[in-house]
Amino acid sequence: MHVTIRLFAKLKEMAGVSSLALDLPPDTTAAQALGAVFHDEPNLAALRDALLFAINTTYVPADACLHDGDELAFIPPVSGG
Amino acid sequence: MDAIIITTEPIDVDALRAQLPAHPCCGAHVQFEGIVRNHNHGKAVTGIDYECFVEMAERELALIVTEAKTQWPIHDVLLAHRMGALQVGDVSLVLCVRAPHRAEAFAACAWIITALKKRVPIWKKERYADGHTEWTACTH
Repeated sequence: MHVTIRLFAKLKEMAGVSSLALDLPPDTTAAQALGAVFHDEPNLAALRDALLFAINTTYVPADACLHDGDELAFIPPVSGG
Repeated sequence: MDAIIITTEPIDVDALRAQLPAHPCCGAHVQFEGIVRNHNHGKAVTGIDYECFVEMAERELALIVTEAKTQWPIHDVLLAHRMGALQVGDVSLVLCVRAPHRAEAFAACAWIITALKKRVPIWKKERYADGHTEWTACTH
């Protein structure tokens, strides 16, 4: 299935891009998709714990399953205002 | 009338305020402005770069306004947040709440700002006088 990944702030700088198109197995979770994008990151668990996930602009749990055509955003700690 | 504005342009506070319709029932107008300050956690700040997930931020802000209206009898909410490179003294955020009475206008204004800082996908990267930059997490 095809999923679009959106990256912001520190994560965008880490990845060097603001979006990615990924081909993932069915029922991949949001957290697993993070692992696929940042597979070289030595502190992946710490990174995952610091993030929230949003599918199609709605916050979801880390174990939410993705579907074909979804847009998954990794949301680092927010700081608006 | 409610309005949520995310813009890279300087925020014209007076022009925004003038957009709010007059309601004879509203006796209170509470307005908060966020301004880029020159220090944070003991470091000299020269400016802030704001970044936003626009589609989600607009949706989350609309949800926050709806939630505020279920808690307080407020009439109008106008919120504008600036993005991009801001300097010390620039207005980053304007929030206006109009209500029949001041108590609900003050309470809703404070609650909306707190909810924004907790939930809305907006990020700030502070620029420091020593040349460093850092993505900050809100702790207030």
